[in-house]
Amino acid sequence: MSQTTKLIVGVIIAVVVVVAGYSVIKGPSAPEETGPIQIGFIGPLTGDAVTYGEPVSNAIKLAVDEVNKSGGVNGRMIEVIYEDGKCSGKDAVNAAQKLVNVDKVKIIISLCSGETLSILPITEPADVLVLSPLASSPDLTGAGDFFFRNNPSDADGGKVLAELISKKYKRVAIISEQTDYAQALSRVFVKSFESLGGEVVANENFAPETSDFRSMLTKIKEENPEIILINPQTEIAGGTIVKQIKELGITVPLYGTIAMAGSKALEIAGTNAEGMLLVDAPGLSPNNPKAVKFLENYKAKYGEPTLEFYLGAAYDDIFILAQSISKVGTDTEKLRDYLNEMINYNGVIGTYEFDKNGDLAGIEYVVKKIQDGKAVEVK
Amino acid sequence: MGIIPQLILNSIIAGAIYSLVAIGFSLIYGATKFFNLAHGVMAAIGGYSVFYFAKTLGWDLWLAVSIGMLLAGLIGYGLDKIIYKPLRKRKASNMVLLVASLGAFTALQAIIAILFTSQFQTISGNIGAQNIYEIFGGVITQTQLIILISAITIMAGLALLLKYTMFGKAIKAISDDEEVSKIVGINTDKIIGYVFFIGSVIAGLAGILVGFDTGIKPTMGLSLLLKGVIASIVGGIGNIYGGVLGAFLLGFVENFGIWKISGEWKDAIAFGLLIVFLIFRPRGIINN
Repeated sequence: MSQTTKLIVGVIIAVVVVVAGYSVIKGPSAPEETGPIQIGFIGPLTGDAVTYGEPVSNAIKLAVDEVNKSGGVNGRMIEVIYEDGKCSGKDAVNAAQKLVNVDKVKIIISLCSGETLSILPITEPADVLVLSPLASSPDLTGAGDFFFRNNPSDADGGKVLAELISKKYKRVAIISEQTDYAQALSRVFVKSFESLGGEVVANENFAPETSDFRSMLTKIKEENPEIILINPQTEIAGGTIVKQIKELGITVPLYGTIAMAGSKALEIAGTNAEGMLLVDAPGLSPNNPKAVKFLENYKAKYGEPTLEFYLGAAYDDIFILAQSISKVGTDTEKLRDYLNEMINYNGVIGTYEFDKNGDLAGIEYVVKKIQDGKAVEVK
Repeated sequence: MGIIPQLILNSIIAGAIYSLVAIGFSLIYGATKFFNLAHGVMAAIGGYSVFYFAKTLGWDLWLAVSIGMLLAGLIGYGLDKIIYKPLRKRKASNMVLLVASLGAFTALQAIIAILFTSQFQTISGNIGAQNIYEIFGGVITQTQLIILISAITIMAGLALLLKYTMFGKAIKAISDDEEVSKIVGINTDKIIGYVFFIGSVIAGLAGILVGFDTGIKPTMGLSLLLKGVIASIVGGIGNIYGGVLGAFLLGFVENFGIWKISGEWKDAIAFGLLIVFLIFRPRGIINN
């Protein structure tokens, strides 16, 4: 080791000792009641699912700006730490470890079902409150005391789809992505559809980030289903499947899940998606002044909104948190009790509350049809 | 007629795409003997150039495609001159070159994501209005037909180039022994630079064609590269004919493999094929 290297190493050691010593003397910086209120965000900021992560994080930024401009919560600003969960359990766990153990956040907003399912084992023991505006997996029902979501469960979504399809058809094919969300939905659908007397003639699954579905669709075509149900995690997979279905000359009616209503899915599918029926969360009501104002502000700042229910739910989450914290402070046990007892919250996505499992109560899935490149609600 | 004609067509289309990646990869490996991972990002560069020039700026499509290929080629050439050549001069091991290429891959991919966001983009304008052709009971789209024709043209052109020109002979000489080639008076740095250019142009074309067929995203290079590498190893690494054979074999095995089992195992089947070859025929179909 040369003289210079020794010197450099010496300086580094000295700095580490001083910094470590300082923080020990200062003690854990835990309950600062004056600094900003930190909220963690775990969602897909890269990868195919970024079509959810990007707009939803924009909606959160919009809400945080509004809260902070009006003076914050009890005089404290809200600060969001964004982490990339890539819609995958593994990445979400890394993000949660960092948020909970390093940043010491007490509140996390988590997006995908897969992300949320994997972080709960970390957040629950640490009494960290988790809110999700997107996660719809039925496996999340009652998954944790500190978990709440303002997105309907697919235990309902899968049933609604099965009932809708079984009214007219008996032989269906389903193609699903290999993710917690899509697999749970597929499970609920297949079970409900079969109990209604239908038959699933082809049940194909594909890995995330797949872009060539032709051979899977060729197999489906061979089984002659009356309809195909497309159940992707991401809009990109969904749009591509619709496109490749038509390219293979398959002409049966198509059904889809919520991802198919996204603008990216419809851009990729183009006119091929026309007439497709899907089960989706309701659109934001034009009679709700809060929703109208939110959409206007979003459009002005980030352009045309996509999947507006998700955006509205995420926006609501920030305001629900702001309201709860202003009432009971930042102690998560008190926040949990407050959210459990909260009734008739009047938000952008409607009037709702959380049931005893932390699930959304008061808003239900609706049926939509793709017309002129847009998902329009049908009665 | 059943399912088989369509599966064969699907396999051929997949094989054509893989072969375009594998050819360039094998060509570069043949001349330099290292795994140029940055090869994958050339596909993304090609795809995004077309997206930018044709879709954002509204230039002529053929012009945009030419610029895309040229740009991919120039960046490949630049990487050789700026990163790999100095490393070769310092007698860096192939492992060092591999890590350097991984760095170049990641950096270029990040630059694309910064410029164009991580969002998936489509570059074909007339989606839903594609012509579909029926062949032997299977269907193929116009884009796929173009992919197939381009792949065959490139393969034939490259084969002729390698066989009948001095340049081709020089590449062969460098593949055999770089030091000896230098001694007999071949300007190896220049030839290797050209090899990077040509290989990257072909990878850029692959990215453009994939973009027309499905779409583009900054990370598209990695999955293409993996398939190209598997095809190259299966076919016989460093040999472009082997790369083509490997690519089509991979296409067929992948698409027929999921005939009786679920499609989620497609990648597992591809890597299974790789393992089988590594164990039983490590030097590939065409044994050099």
